[in-house]
Amino acid sequence: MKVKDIMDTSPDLIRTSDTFGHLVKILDRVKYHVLYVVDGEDKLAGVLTEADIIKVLIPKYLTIDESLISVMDKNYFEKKCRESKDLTATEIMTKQPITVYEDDTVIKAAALIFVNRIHSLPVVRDSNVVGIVPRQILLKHITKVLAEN
Amino acid sequence: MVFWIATIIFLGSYGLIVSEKLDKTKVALIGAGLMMILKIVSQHEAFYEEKYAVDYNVIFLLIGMMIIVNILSKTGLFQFLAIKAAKLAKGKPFLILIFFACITAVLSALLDNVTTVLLLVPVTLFIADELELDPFPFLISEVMASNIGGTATLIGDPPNIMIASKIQLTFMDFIYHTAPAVLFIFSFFLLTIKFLFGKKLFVREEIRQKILAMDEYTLIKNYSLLKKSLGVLGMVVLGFVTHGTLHYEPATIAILGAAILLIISKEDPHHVLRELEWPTLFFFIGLFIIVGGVVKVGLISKLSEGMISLTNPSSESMFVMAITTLWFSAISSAIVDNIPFVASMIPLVTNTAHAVLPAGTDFKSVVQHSTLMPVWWSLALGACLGGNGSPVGASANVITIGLAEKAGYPISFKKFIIYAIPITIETIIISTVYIWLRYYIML
Repeated sequence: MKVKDIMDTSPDLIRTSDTFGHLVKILDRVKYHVLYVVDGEDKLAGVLTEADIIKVLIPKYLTIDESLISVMDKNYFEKKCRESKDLTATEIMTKQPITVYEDDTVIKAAALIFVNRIHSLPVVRDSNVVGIVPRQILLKHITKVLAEN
Repeated sequence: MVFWIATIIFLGSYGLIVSEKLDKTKVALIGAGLMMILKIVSQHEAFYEEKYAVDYNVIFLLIGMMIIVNILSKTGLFQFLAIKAAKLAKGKPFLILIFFACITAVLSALLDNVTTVLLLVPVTLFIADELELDPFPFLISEVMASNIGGTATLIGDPPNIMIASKIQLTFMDFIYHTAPAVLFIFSFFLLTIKFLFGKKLFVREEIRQKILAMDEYTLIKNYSLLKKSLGVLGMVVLGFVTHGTLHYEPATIAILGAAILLIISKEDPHHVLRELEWPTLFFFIGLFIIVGGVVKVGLISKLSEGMISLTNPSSESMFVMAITTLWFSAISSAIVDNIPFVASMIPLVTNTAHAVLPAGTDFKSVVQHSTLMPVWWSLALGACLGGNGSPVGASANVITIGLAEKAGYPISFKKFIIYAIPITIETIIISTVYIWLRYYIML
């Protein structure tokens, strides 16, 4: 079975210039809680998930020394939210995302999701996003396979 | 033939270490392995004969101190001191910078430089973020302060540990000779920092209030462990202060202190020992064997003949040799790791001493001859302070730059050396004046 046989062909796309405030609003509404960021030529530039949104708000020094959390300003998070309002998708997204092609096998998609601990994979054709394979679709596929037996 | 093979292994290892094409620990171990398999030094000589062997005093002193620091670092003391200092400075950025530099220097003098910056850099980035200031002035000052502070004591920096071990100097020898130099150097360094950054560091009153509102006591993770760690560290420092009088090697004190702390802290030795800097320790072991090989084949004697003809030392004065050693060590240590450099310089200076000075009653009376001592202090000052000269000059520099980059504040090679080179030159000029005044004018 190939990726094109199971993928959802309507992934949610946004532009590189879309801002933090806008992204947060629509990320909550989209089907798989993932947005694919495309450039002016509709080519895939990056991926944006809830984790990327939270990452922007957390100072990087905490990844080196977590103990500093205890002396941080109680309103730091809220302050950082306001400061980040105008950041663009390019500044927030995860660049160089892992992708699959329509003709790749389902096992390849499943393995990439498992090994890289991600929730979904964009399906690309000439760098254009043509579909999405999230974990939910893999589970549906498993159910289908079992039903056939 | 053996001479040339040993020389090729030595130079090849040096070349690979400088080029960074291969990890330095791998280079040192392969060089050591070749020295032994080719029987340039036998395994027995490399392991047991004092003249060529691994200096286990250095290895075990480092292991002991690494264990103590590892346990101490889990208490939150470093972060506590930094926030406390920031509050004592009333949130004034320049004063915070000065206090942080002083804390870094003192901790680096007593503990290892890498752990000091590893724990202080994140809290520095935090404070700079709170003050809404560029962290660069703070970070560069701390790196420099770490290398300057480390120069002050026997245990502050590996070159000092190596020199002390080989020529049997005590902790107090360094307190009498390098620590005063460091006091002068550090004072000038603070003035330089004021000149460079003093006018740029100001913040609004409400931002300063944020610093004053912090509760630094929440950073202490384990009061009981803190008391035990500080108690043992205090005893170890006392042990170092008295080891000369009591005739103990520093490694004995450090290992005993580490063992006591491991027992009373109830820390799992598997965890603590796993976190030691084993690559650094094996780097030392490999280098000692490589240098042992070139000492045995006579390369170091030939180099010391060159040094004698170049600097013309005599049993009355070695002024030119001392100053040449100081500057040469500083320049070399900025370019190469100062550990292999000092490992090679120690036998070189020792050979020169044996060639120039009258034969004494024992080894110590020759290598600690009053005419020679300024050369050893010059080597210590040059090798330790030279580490400030470039981003790769000392491990503390590499660690700080790495952490800053990880936190989103990359420090370019160019930006680093613009500040580092003038400061390093300044510290070496002060060292030159110190050596000249103290050992050749005041006598």
